[in-house]
Amino acid sequence: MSKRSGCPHIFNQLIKSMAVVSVMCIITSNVIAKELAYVTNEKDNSISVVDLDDFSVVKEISVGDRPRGFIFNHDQSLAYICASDIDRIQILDMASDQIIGELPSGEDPETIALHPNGTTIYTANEDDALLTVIDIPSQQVITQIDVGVEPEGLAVSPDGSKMIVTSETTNMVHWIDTKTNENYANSLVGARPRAAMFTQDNKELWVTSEIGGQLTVFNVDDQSVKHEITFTIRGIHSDRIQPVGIVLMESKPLAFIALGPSNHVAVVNTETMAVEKYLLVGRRVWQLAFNADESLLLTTNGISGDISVIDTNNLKTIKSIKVGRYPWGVAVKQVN
Amino acid sequence: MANAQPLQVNIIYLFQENEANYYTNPLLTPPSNAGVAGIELGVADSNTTGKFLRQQFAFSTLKLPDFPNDSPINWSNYDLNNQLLLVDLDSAMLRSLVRYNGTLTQPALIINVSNRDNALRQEICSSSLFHTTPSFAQITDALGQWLLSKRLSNIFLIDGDTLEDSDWVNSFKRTAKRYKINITTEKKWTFNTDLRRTVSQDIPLFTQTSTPYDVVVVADVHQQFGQYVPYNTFYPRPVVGTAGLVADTWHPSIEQWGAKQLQNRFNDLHQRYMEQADFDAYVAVRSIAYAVQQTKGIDALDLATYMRSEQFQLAAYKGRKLTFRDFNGQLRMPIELTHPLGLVARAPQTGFMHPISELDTLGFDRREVCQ
Repeated sequence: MSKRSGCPHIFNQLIKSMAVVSVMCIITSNVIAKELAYVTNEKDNSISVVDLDDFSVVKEISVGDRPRGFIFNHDQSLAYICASDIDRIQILDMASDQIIGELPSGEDPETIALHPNGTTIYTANEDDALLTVIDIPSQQVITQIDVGVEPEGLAVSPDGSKMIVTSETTNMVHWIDTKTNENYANSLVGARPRAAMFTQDNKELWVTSEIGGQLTVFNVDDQSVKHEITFTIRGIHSDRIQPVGIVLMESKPLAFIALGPSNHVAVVNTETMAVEKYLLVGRRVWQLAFNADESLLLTTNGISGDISVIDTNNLKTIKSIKVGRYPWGVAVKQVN
Repeated sequence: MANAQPLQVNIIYLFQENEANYYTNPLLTPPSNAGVAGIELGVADSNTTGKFLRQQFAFSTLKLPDFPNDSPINWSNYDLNNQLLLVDLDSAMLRSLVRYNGTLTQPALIINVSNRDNALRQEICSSSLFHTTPSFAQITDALGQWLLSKRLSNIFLIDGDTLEDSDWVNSFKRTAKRYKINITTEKKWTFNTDLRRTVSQDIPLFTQTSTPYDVVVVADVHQQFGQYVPYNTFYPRPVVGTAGLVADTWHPSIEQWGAKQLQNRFNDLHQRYMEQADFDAYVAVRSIAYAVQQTKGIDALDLATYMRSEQFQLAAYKGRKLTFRDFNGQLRMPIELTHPLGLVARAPQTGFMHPISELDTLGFDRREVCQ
């Protein structure tokens, strides 16, 4: 990886804002490679690519209709995109920006998750109440598992033994054994569960309920509820505080929870489960992604059509970047 | 666990045949399964959920026989004890059902899925009665908020002159008073011409006034003439009410907040678009299913108590949780303002505040009920 500092370049771009410049120098001096953020635009059938050195949109890539879930393979040479309205998972070659293939996905794939083995991919078929398990090398569907109405959030445990799907209208977390592909437990949660995320030690599962307004933390061993927290933002009615995307930081005991139409992201201390701060971002924030060293957190803001950039060292929103209409998924790629 | 019988949840759709005593424009004829189609989808969705909880949902229909006006129905012919009823009844029939239900030792849970009569919300306070269809007051308040937000406060009001139209007009007058909107002209529609032929001559004459108005409000619940008013008013002004810009619970163009998934499932099941009657009935089934899911039982009184509690939270593709008003069983919900092909706005409009819930700026509040 080539080393470079983003500071002089940033300086040119943001010369009018000295405060921002000093923040940016601190952040980018840690960055050893160039980083690009890929954002799926649900309504524009495209991906916006954002350079995280100067926060400019460097290109747009046309993809299939209604792109939502977006993930990279382990070496970031390929990306998998849920093109919901054409019922496919498209494979994007990151070197050429070309769609080079497809995976069979079942109808209306919304979200995807990759097993740590790198060869099994899971997708939630929102219209058919199914979870589809796909083998990437053979491009075959291994099995489809019946789940609740409108499956949405997916998570695979870091050790690869379990996977989770949440169903929005069934209000349930479905626990699946990845060896047998069997649904071995179901847990009811608050209304309209959206995202799920395992902790790195495989011991906890975090789940957000959008309409219920809750964050539920489960003990993975016995599916018991360890914590349940709600959020309060001064001046915003509780009905509008709708937890959606979750990311857990590895370098610090912090979690970030997107709170939908309250236009805020909550910062939760994972040791005390206290909410430390609420950060104002764009309108209807739903998905979140860190860059490689976790110094930046990106949020997709569906209604305002932009992404917000949060400086995770100072816990401040430092920038918003206009992308396409209804940005949905986001992931960050290292470029040598 | 393996031997446990699934919990059987039976829902009855109770309705009466309403013979229309008016001409219906064939373009506006509702689908023959309007409403019931929403129940079918609600039951299917609830069963997908129910299979993980060993709950099985089913519904049956019960049509009331036609009665001459002077012979009251004998409700004791029907076993209503502890039943879960979705009802599509006129106001007199619904009142008589609620009265009879009050005499039962195990009253039924009754959800009104179609009747928008304001009086039912203001005068009946049975804890077993719920409404998933909005009152006329919720509808006219939604329109009133839009008129205010557009600063359209000088109204030409057309009253369609049927019983339902006068309920609608009274509701709009309440809204106008609340929001200080002036109804400067009010006229009853008395034409009996075929407007399809003479629309461009008759409507301008009918809407001519000496000083211009800001907007025309049409109260024509049965859609006898309202659809001919837009673009033909004497002054070129917007038309709102039951024609032009309309306020209702649902529209095929709605896709936000997961609504697209609901529209897709409905379309797959019925090969047509979901309409408001379907949505109002769908939400009723989902309300019962959510209460059954949470209380793990089918006791009608327990379900009614739960549905009125603060624990009840229904996700219904409206971008916020829906709850029932504990004082009259009315579902709180945002109202969609649409033109025939798209969404225009949604009420409550930004800036209309309420100490409990902004949704309570639409319709009757606690102090207006059962006083």
